[in-house]
Amino acid sequence: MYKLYAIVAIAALLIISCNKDASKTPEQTAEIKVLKLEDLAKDDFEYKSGDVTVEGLCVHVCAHSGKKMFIVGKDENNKLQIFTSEKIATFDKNLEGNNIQVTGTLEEERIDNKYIANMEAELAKENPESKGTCPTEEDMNKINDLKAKVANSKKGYISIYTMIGSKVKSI
Amino acid sequence: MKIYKLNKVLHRDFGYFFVAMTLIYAISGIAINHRADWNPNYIITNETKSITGQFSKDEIDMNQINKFLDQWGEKSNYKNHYFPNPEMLRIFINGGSVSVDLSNGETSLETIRPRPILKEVNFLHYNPGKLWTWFSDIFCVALAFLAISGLFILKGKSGLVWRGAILTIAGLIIPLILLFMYL
Repeated sequence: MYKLYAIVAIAALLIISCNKDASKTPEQTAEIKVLKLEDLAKDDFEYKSGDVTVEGLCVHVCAHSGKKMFIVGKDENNKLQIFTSEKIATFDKNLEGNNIQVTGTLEEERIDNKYIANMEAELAKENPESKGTCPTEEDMNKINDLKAKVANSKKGYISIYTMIGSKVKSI
Repeated sequence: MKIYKLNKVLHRDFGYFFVAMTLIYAISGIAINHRADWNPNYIITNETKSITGQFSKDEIDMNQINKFLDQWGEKSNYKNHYFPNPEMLRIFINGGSVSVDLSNGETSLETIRPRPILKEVNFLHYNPGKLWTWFSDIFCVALAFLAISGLFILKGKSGLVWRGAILTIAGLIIPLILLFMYL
C-alpha cells in the first residue's frame, strides 16, 4: 500500500513540475502604458483591447468578499470600479489609502440619449406613488448631469469603464 | 488484498489525508454562507466623536488633518486622505480610517482587523491560483470517493442493508425537498 502511495505522490510531483516548466512562456516584452483616471475620462479616450495599467488612490475594498474595489484619481469624481479576475482571488483591505497601479482589461458601458431615456422610464416605474412621472431630485440631478455630458461629447455618448484586474501593485 | 479491505484502507487513508482540506472548506463554507449577517474576513469596529465647528473643504490641510487624527490618538498612523464629497473627508490610517463630516465636525473611527484563521481559509476558498484549483479538484474527487466508499465500510444490519440505507435515503430526501421548495 505504501508503495502505491509513494508512486502516486511522485507522479503528482512530476505533473506539478512539468506544469511549472510548461508555464514558463517567454515574458511579454510589450510595455503596458500607465494611464491616469483622468485619461479614461477624456472624451477622445478609446479603449481597444488588451491589458492597460491604471493608477489611482484605493478608496474602498469590499470587506465582505474582497472581490471589488474603487480607485479615484486626483479629481475624486474620476472613479474606477475594479473586479478580481482568475489571477487574483481577493483584494487586500490594507490597499485602502494606498496609491496603487492595477493592470487588467477594461469593460466599457456606453451612455447615450437612448440609455438615459431608458433610465428615466425605469425611474418613473420605480416611483408609482408619485404618479409615475416624478423621480427624486437626486435622480433628476444625476440624469441632467448625464444629459449634459452626452450633449458635450463629440462621440454622442460617454463611456463608463470598469476593470477586471489581474495585477495590483502599491506605488 | 480483497476489494472490501482495500475499500476500507483507502477510505481511512484518504480520510486522514484530507482532514485539513475538509476543515478548510467546512469552516470557510459556514463563514461565507453567512456573509449577509457578518463580515467573514474582518472584525470592523466603529466609534463616533463630535468636535464643535464646521469646516469647509478648502480649509482642510495637514495641520487640520493631524488635529482630527489626534482626537483618536492616530496621528502617527496617517496614510492618505480624500474627499468622497465636498462635505466629507476620509482619512486613511494603518488598520482603518477616520471619516469627518465637515458640516458638523462629527468624526468616526473605523478599525479593521483580520479575523485570524478565517481570513486565510476564506482566501483559499476563493481559489487563489491554478495549483489550488488542481488540489481542490482532487479533494472533490476524493470527497466523492469517501462518500461512496463509506457506504460499504460496514456489513450487515449496520451497513446498507438496514441502518445505512435508511440514513442514506433520509440524507437524500432533505435536499430533494429543499430543491422542490425553491424551484
